[in-house]
Amino acid sequence: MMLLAISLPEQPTLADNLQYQLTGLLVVLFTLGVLALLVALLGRVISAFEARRTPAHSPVVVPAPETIPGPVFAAVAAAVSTALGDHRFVIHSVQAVDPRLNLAWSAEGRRSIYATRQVR
Amino acid sequence: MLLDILHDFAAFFQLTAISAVTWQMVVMWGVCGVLFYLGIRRKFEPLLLVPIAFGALLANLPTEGLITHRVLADGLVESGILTVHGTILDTGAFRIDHITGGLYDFISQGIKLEIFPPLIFLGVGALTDFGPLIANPRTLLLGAAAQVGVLATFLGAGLLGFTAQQSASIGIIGGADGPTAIFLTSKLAPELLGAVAVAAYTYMALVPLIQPPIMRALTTQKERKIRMRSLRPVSRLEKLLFALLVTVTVILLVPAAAPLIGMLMLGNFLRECGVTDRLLKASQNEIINVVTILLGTSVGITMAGENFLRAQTLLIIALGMVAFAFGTAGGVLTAKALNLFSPRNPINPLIGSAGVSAVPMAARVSQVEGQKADPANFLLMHAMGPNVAGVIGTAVIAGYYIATLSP
Repeated sequence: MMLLAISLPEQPTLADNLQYQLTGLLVVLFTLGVLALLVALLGRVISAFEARRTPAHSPVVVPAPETIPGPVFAAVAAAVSTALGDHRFVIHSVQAVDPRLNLAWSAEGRRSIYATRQVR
Repeated sequence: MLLDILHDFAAFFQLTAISAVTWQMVVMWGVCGVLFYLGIRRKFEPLLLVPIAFGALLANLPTEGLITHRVLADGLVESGILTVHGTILDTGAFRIDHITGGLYDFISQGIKLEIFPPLIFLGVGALTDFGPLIANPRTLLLGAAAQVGVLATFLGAGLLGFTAQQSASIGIIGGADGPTAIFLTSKLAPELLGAVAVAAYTYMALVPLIQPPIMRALTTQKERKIRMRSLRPVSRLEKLLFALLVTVTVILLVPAAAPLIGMLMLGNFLRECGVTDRLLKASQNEIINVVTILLGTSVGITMAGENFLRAQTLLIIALGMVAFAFGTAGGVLTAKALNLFSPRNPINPLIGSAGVSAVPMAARVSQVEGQKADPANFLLMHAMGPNVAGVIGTAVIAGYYIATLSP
């Protein structure tokens, strides 16, 4: 409703236009600034809420890490080595990686998905 | 006998539409050819450019039963006229007896009644993950700052003699948000709809060419190498509350943006609530796809040669480029300014350019440019924050224009 008070003359001068645009910029900055504050606040409230709730209600359950079976690692490594035509490397041992390192794979997956979206 | 056949054939020839072809139509066939080339061969936003080009081709053929042209007093050709025949009853009510018009007179009501762009926003919301934005709310300011392009272009268009309503419609090209551009233009300056839509979608596809030189010119090598802190995980509850928060806040502050923001956040709420799979899939696929076909062809159908082949179309396309350039610069410079206030948690200024929307193309440009400076730096998810913030920012500025400039 606040916006209805703003108007531009029938024949606006450059100064009128400039004032009108600066007001518009202020409206956008104010609206998104308020949102940024509220979202930041929301994040803190939820984090605090979840941190307080976790120890009180149930013991911390550590989810089983999503590990890729060792033989799969070996097969992938062998395939890469063959594809590169490089036979200098020999697999000595196979170890599961820290699941947190899989973030890069998720990021790449998301990148691929977004790359296929060209709707707008 | 032979003469009779020839005579009949000549008579039939007079019934064809060939004699109704004008030079403007022929020129527009060339324009359609260019749009088809850009969409199909160069893959410039093909989902929209191809239907737009096909709609434009239909508009520039002497069709029957498809559109109803009406030549206005000032020479403009208006396509899509619904004629409602009815009776005024004694009670003062109006009873519709029948309605006449071509196929696209009816279909393009989706634009005139402002139905299609919000429905596209429903699908966009259902496809968008606001997690990166929620994890780093500062990036909302980058989405706001990129609207500088819209505002600067408004000023430029005003100086070139466009009316305030037309200037707003041209400026919104810089928002790099097709549905919002169509929504605003159909409301404020419907006579520019074809040119604005074509410019908006073409430049959105050209983001990888337009933005990088500006991004490099405004940043140092050291700034381009800035590595940002990893984004924290965002819970589903937070995403749900975010959708509600944006809906309530934006609609309270800028009620004219309600159709766009409301549908965007409805789509996102369906996505995040996790219990409306069928509705989510319909929004992400069937609804957005069907509406995209109808929206694209309805925009194209407004591109009748008599209306489109004007000097102002070239001006609009040139101003659209200015809008994108200013928007990119505004985002990058604001990111640099924010770093003055938070030196311990800096923002890579390259993600500022993603504030112009053009989801996800602009974010990918930030990623590519960042990797040119530091191949091990991954900016994509950071850039998605300002990218989706730009969608909200453009809807807000559109709401501002609608609230203040609507006739």
